[in-house]
Amino acid sequence: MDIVGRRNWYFLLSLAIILPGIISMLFFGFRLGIDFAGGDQFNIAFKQPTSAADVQKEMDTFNVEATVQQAGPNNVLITTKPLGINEETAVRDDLNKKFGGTVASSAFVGPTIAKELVVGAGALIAIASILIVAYLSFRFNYKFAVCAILALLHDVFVLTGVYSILGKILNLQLGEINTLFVTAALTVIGFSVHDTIVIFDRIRENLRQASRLTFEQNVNLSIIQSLARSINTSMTVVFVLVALFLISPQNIKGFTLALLIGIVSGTYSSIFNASPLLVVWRRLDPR
Amino acid sequence: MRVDRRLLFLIGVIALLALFIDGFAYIYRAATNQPLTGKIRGIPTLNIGFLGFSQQIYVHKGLDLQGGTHLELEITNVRSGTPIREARDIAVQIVERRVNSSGYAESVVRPEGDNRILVELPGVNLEQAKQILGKTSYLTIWEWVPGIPDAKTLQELNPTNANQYQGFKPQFTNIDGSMITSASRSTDPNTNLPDVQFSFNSKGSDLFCNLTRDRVSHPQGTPENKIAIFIDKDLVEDANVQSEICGGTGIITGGFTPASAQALAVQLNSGALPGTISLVSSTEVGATLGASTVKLSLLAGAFGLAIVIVFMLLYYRLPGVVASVALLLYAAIALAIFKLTLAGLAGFILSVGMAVDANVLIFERVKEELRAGRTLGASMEAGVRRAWPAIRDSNISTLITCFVLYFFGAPLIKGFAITLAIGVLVSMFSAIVTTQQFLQVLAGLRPARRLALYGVQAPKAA
Repeated sequence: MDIVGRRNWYFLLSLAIILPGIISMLFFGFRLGIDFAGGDQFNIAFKQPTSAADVQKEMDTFNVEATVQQAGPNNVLITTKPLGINEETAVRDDLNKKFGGTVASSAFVGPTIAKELVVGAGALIAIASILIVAYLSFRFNYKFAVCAILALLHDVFVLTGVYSILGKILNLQLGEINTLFVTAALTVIGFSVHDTIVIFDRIRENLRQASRLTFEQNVNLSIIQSLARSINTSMTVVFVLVALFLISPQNIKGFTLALLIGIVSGTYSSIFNASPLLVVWRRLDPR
Repeated sequence: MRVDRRLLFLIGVIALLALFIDGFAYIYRAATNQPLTGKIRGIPTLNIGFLGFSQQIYVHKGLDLQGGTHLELEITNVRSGTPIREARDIAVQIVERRVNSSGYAESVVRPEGDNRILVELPGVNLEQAKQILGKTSYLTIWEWVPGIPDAKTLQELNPTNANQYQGFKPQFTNIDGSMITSASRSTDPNTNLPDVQFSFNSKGSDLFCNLTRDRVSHPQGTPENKIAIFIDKDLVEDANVQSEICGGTGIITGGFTPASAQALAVQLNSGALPGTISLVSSTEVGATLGASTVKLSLLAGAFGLAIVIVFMLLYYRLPGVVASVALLLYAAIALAIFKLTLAGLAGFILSVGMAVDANVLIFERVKEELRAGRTLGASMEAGVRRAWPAIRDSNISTLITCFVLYFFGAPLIKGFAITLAIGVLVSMFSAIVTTQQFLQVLAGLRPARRLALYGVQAPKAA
């Protein structure tokens, strides 16, 4: 199997997935959850099946920029602008009176805190990346470190791009960016680097043993040698996540999907991007 | 590396301890007729203060799984002269007192950042939570001195009140509600009207004594003879001082109804809030939703674990058994120390993946060594040794991510980070110590020496 030799095809495949995502991010942005946009959100449980359209009609009388979505036969999810205590109580009482609905869960995020979260999430990814580069430069060398981070950025862009498309172009609740999504993205970063390091470790080991292989052959051999492990580990995590995705309640489906996409992407990037990038770099700068 | 009996013993002890903790709480609760959620009476709480880690030793459910309300409060408009962190700490105490006096003793109130407070109220819905936190009042005592109120005073006090005496301005006496130790509704024995009595701590008592001694020296009825009591911005009492009051108690009379006197007493008991508390975010989970989430999550966790075990048994045969035992042991330990929340669950799943990964790395190496024709014992030893750098470096980079998340992340992210970090550490222990010891035990057993049991064909040339 010659993975390194066909590297340009693999880079192309990555680009084919990332580019539409980036275009979508640039032109449409994200579908922000209330964690980031600020607002009030209620999950209302009714005693009998109730349609979102009816509740929407009722909510429109309040003039609070409400959007109502069906979250189950007996459940709707209402999102509004940030409400004051009185407004909120009025809404709750009204829904209870008209439809017999009670609040199953609610979330409120004020405008100040929403802004902080946006800044915070980007900063976290940056800080974590810098520290990981430092550690990998110490254990391997800076070329390995930079390639690992490039693979990491690949995964971040795949994930955010797919979510931009899901949320804005397909207009799905699933594609909402919220705190849980940030957690998922950070998890993916951890996993991506983890995966890449295992292959790098193999390259490091093989390079130490004197052999007649070229650098390129060596990298390819290392990828093949760790392939069983890469796929086995990812498969086990993917199994768990698929199980979780299928039976998880609506509110964490987006979260498990993000983990799923990120981990598949992380496995792909560590096999097909990170190590082949080392070879590309070596050719440009053969020291 | 030989079988180390002491290590095996240690593994056994940890396993039993973890299982004991997992099962113990339920048996104990049932035996003592306690409700199945919340803190258990008579069980110690494990505190690791600098990590903000506080946990009773039993399977612990977070708010999103047990139902309840999580609020984030912010202190703004802090009175000049009070450092923001001090104001925050005072506010934490006040909120804590409010919450505890409402009988929600399982709640958590803690500072977050410079000016935020986190409140977790299990089993309480948002409406109730808001009622509990409600309005706290800031009591201040002022004296009248010649002059004109400046802009700052007019911002702190209602301008109508501040300007009520021509040529006099209110001046803060440094006595505020934080010096009040208790307050209660009472009845004036002379007029039979409701009033509010309160007592000062020693500092307040001294200040009040000096203040009244000074005021009584001015002619009766003039503004300089009066003391003004403000609650928040409003004047509630502007009383003539007839004699010095040095006993450490005071009385507010001022046209109360019994109900309004009672309300003021409660507010004073909540102490002095040196600013305004406002709600910046809240999350509320109904008990039913929480319960169904628990069921689903546990189901998903168990299902996922089962798939992983089946996979490992099929692919790695005998070592798969070893890894499964190590993994179950890991799950037991993890359940014993984690707080079970949705984010925590994610951290757990991820660390299961990493625990499996360490095992997979070792087994792949062992297979390679076996294929190269080494003996079982030597292969196992070499497998662990050669897998170690990869396990070490990958886990350290994950720990770096956890570290960043923990120190810079929002509360929810913090929970995830600590879960993942503990998960990574426990899984490293599980893979390196537990798996290795079990493998060594296997290598010493004659029936376990057939290579087919390891998914490897006997090498052609030995």
